Amino acid sequence: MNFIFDNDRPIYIQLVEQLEIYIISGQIKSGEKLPSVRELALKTKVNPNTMQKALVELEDLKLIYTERTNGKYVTKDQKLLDKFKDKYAREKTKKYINEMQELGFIDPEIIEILKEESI
Amino acid sequence: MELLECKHIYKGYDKKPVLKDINLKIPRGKIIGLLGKNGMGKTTLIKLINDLLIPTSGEILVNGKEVGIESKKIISYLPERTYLDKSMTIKQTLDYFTDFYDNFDIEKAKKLIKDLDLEIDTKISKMSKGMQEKLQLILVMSRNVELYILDEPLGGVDPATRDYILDTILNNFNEDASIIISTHLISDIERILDEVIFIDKGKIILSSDADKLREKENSSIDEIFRRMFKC
Amino acid sequence: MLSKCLKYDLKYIYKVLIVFYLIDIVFACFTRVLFYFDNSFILHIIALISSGTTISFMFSIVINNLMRVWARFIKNIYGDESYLTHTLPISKNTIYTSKFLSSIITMFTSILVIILCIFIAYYSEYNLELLKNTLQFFATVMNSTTIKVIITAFLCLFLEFTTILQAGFTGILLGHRSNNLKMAKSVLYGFLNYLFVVAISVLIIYIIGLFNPNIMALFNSNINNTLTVDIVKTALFLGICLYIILISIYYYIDIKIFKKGVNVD
Repeated sequence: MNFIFDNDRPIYIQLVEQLEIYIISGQIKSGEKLPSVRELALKTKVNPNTMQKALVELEDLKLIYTERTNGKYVTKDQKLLDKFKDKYAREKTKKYINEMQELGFIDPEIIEILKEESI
Repeated sequence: MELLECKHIYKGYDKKPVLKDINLKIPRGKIIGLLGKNGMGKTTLIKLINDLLIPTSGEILVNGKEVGIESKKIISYLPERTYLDKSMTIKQTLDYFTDFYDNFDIEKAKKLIKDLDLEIDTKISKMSKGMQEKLQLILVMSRNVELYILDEPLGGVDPATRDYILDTILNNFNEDASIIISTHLISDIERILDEVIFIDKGKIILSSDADKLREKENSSIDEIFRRMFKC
Repeated sequence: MLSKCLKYDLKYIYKVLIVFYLIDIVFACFTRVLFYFDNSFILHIIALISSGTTISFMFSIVINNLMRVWARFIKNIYGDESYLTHTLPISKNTIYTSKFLSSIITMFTSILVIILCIFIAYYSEYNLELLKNTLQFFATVMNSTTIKVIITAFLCLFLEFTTILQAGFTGILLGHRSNNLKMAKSVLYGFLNYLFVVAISVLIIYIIGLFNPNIMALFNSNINNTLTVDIVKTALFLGICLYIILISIYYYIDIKIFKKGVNVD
C-alpha cells in the first residue's frame, strides 16, 4: 500500500479516500483486521491523531467496524462494498464524460472510443 | 490543567523586544508546529520554556507549575546545537542520561543506536556532526515524557536524514505526549501536525487546527505561510 | 543528585589532572634518582633540568586545576553543554554546589600531590632536618607546636586557592550577566573579586586595629619592633576567619545570582 498526499487538502480526508479505494478494491480484504492506529500512522507517516480521525470517518461510513478490545476490522458486508464500488465507478465515469464533453465529444463518440480502447 | 501554558510572555535584550505578549496553551496528545521565519522568536520562546532564558515578564506554567525541576522531568528538549560532552563516549552519555533522568529508556536508545550502526564505545568527538545530531535525537526521543520540544530538527539535512528524523520522532514518542516542533521548513513536516502556531516578529499571529486551516484556505500550510509572509 | 553531579564534575577535572599528577610524580622520582647518582657534570645538569621540570609541573598542576574548573563551569553553565545542564531535573543549588565542591576537592588533592612530589624529589636527612628546624623555629617563635604550624600553613594555602577559585566563579557569573564581552568581563570581575577579598580583609583588620592598638602595630612600620608573636597570631587567626566568612558570603551570593536563572546564548 502506498499513500500519496498533497498538502493542499486536509490530510484526514485524503486518508479516507485512499483507504476507501484499498478497501473496495480488495487490497485490504473484507473481514481483515486493520493494524493499530499507531502502526497505520507509522506506515503512512502521518500523525496518529489524523489517522484516528480518518478511521472514525471510515467507521461512520460503515466500511470498518470496531470489535471491542480486539481492534478494527474491514466490513464483511459485501453489499455495502459493492455499493461503494458502484458509487466510485460512477463518480469516475461521470468525471471522464464531463471532461470529454468539454473537449467537444458527443455521447455516441465517447461510447465508441470506450469500446475501442477497452479491448 | 493545560500541559503548557504561557501567559503574557515578554522577553527582550537590552530593551530590544524579542517576544511580545505571547499567550499560548498546549494541550496533551497533540503534535504542534511552531512555525516562523528565522529570527522571529521561535527559539527564544523554546528556551524560555526550558529555563535557558528568564522572561522579562509573564508566566510559564507546565502542568500548572512554574518552570523548574518538575517541569524538566516531563519535558524532553532537542536544541538546535549539540549539547553533549564531546569527550565522552556514547556509552558514557547513555549512563549520564540514565543517572539523571528516571524516565530514560536505555534499551530503546541502545536499539536505535544499533540501527544506526554506531559502536557504543565511539567517542562523540569522533562522530560526524550529522551523527551527533542523530544521537541527540535518539537520546531525546528515548525519554518517556509528557512533552517533547524539538527545535528545528530538520534544519539543513538531506532528504534521507529528514525521513529518518521524522520516522524516529513518530516511532518513538509517547502516545499521550505532545510534541512541539519548531521549523521554518513547513512543507516537510506539515502533514504530521495537528495544530500550527505562526510566530512573526515576536508575536503569535495565528493559531489553528492544521486540517481546518487547510480546509478554510484551500491550500497547504506552507502556501498559507508563504502568502502571509511573502518570503 | 549532588553525588551524581559531583561524580561527573570530578571525573572531568581529574581526567586530565591525573596525567599531570603522574607526570609530576615521575619527574620527582627521576629527579631523586638522578641526584642520587649525581657523579658527573652531565648527570648533574640533567638532574637540575629534571628538578626544574618537577617544580614547573607543580605550577602547571595548580594552573591546570584552576583553568579546568573554570572552563568546565563556563562550558556547562553558558556554553553549548548548558543546554543539557539546565534542562536536567536538578536544582540550580545542586549544580553550583557540585561545581564548588569539585573545585575545592581537586585543589586539595593537587596540593597534596605537590607536597608528595616535593618529598619524593628532595627528601633527604639533611633537608628533613632543615625543614624540621625551620618549622621548629617558627613554632618556637610563634610559641606553638610544629604540627600547628604545618596545619596553619596548609590552611592558608588552601584558603588562598579557594578564594581564587571562588572569585573566578563569581567573576564568571557576573560577567555573563551582560550581553557582550562576556569573557573579558568575567576575567575582569574575577580579578576584582579577588582584590576585593584581600582588600576587605586588610581593611577589616585595620578597622579592628583602630580599636586595638596592638593590632594597629601591624600597620605601623615605625614601631616594627613592638610586633609581638601574639599580635601576628591574632592577625593570622583573624585573616583565616575573614577568608572563611568571605568565601561563605561569596558562595551565598553566587547561588543567589545563579538561582535567578541564566540567559544562555
